[in-house]
Amino acid sequence: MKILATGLSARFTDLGRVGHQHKGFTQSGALDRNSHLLANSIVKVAENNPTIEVLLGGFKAVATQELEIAVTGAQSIIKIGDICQPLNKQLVWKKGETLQIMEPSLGARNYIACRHRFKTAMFLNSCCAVTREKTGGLNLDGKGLQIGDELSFENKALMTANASTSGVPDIAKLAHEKQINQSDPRSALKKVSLPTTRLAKHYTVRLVLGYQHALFDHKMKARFFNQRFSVSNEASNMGIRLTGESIGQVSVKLYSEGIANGAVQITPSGLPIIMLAERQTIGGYPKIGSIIANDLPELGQCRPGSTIQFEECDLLTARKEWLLRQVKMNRFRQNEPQTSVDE
Amino acid sequence: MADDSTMMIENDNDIIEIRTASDCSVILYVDDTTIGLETANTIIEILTRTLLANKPDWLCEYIPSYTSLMIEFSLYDIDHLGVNAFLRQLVSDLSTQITDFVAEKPSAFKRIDSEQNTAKNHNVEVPISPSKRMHRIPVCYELSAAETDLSKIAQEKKMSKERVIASHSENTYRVYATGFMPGFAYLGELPEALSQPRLSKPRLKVPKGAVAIADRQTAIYPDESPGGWHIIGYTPLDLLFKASDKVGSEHGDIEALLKTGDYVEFYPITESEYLGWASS
Repeated sequence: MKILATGLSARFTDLGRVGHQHKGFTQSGALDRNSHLLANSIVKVAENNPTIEVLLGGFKAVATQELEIAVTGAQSIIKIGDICQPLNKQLVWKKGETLQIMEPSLGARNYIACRHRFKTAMFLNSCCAVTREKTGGLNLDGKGLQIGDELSFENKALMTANASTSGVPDIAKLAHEKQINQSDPRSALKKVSLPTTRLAKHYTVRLVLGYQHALFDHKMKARFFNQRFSVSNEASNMGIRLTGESIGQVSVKLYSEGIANGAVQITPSGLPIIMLAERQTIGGYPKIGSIIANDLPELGQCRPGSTIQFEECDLLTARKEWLLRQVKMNRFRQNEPQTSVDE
Repeated sequence: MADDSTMMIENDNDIIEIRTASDCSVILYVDDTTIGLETANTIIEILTRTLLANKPDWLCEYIPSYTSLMIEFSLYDIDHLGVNAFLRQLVSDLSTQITDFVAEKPSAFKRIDSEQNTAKNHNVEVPISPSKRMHRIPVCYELSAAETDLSKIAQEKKMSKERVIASHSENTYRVYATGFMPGFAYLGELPEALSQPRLSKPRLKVPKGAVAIADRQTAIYPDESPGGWHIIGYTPLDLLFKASDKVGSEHGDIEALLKTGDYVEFYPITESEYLGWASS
């Protein structure tokens, strides 16, 4: 496929790098991890396969061979040729046709997965491009996709264990599963819902207290938890700077320390910055806690003007929510061949 | 449930504390108020080495810094209670060594013999003493046609340029942390005489190889980057090693020259030496 327009940013992404932060390399990876996983699940490829992360639409490309793709994430109009296409479905994109993703009406990021594996360069076992570091990406220079880039594909289409190797759904298996579902009175309960990322203009995100939270007194915490902050224009894969009423300052000089994904720093102006996938590895602002892993994908769908409220969460709930989300995604993956045959 | 965001280690010194960092990470702090930064950082280094020697399968990331060690775990494999229990055991097994180290007994970090190991029924393996990795780094302090703050610093500090150079290059520095950008090492501590706050207006582009100072720290910019430190020289050395940089390569690993706990000394080189180095 050939890139005709990239909008603000279109680039390869995956689940990011693991185990290189002590050297100063950022984690990176899909900001809406959930939509990335869903896209790969729909086209039945491994969860860490590269997808293209498109920020605020404006993406256009032409197919140089027939491809099976899926687009997930923000609520955008998607067109192949002149025909509007649904989100979260496997689509056939014929050779010579143009794929377009318009600016979303809700949410910020779309993910394009492809049944054929994109040929990407790998850096630290990830395809992610990090502009600030000048690492990763198609040419390992940290740049996102550029107009005119021609993307090629690995010859072997990678399959997950439950996908049939020929690319054709296993009819016998499907018929068997269907029969079970029809004869089972609990079949309605077995219906697998589509594990999409919830899209909204306002999000309540949950946070576990941590780091220097003891330095924030109850008034500061009240101001922190009891207001709707707005997402400023300074929102990127590195982090989201929020505006609102200052919660006040803590006077403490800290040594720089490791920053967790979702950590909420309070700047000297008393306003929060949520640190995300491409954050710097260490920093010295006081932190009140971190957004729970389960709620991070929603932050990937925030855009300037979205509002955010924090809600306190305990560690056991946080882990339970995250594990449940993985279970839902896995159930969807296992059931996917069945749902796709009805189309 | 009790407040699980903080857990003091039952240790003779009570200098080590574990707190929640996020739902899938904890951060271990060493209090440096009585023992000093270098000792605290050495304890962090020892804890890091011990953690890696035992490499639990739930370990995803570790980030050692000045007085802290952040540890990210896999939510699939363990919860924070399990991680806390593991770390408390690890600290408690190391507590004698840490106490001895704080009391400045250099022998404390010899590898403990196996007999002692069994006797105490240690759950963790204690690695050998932290080796002193020393790097000697050439610096051209007066590179013409390159941006520098050397003269300004000399003026402000009422020192000759030679005195500033000598002061910077006669000291031995410890790598207290790495981060900010790949390969960037925070080196301390800079002599008090050279200490000054960061630039009020950061530069948009600090050139690759710039050696810079701020507060009681010095560092080298591994690549061009925005930055607020005062530039005093340039090194021709590469701070990052690329294992592979070809499109389509399966695994492009990269290593940083300077690691937390290493030591660094700078030595002055002339402009022609610098240029010769850079072109070779």
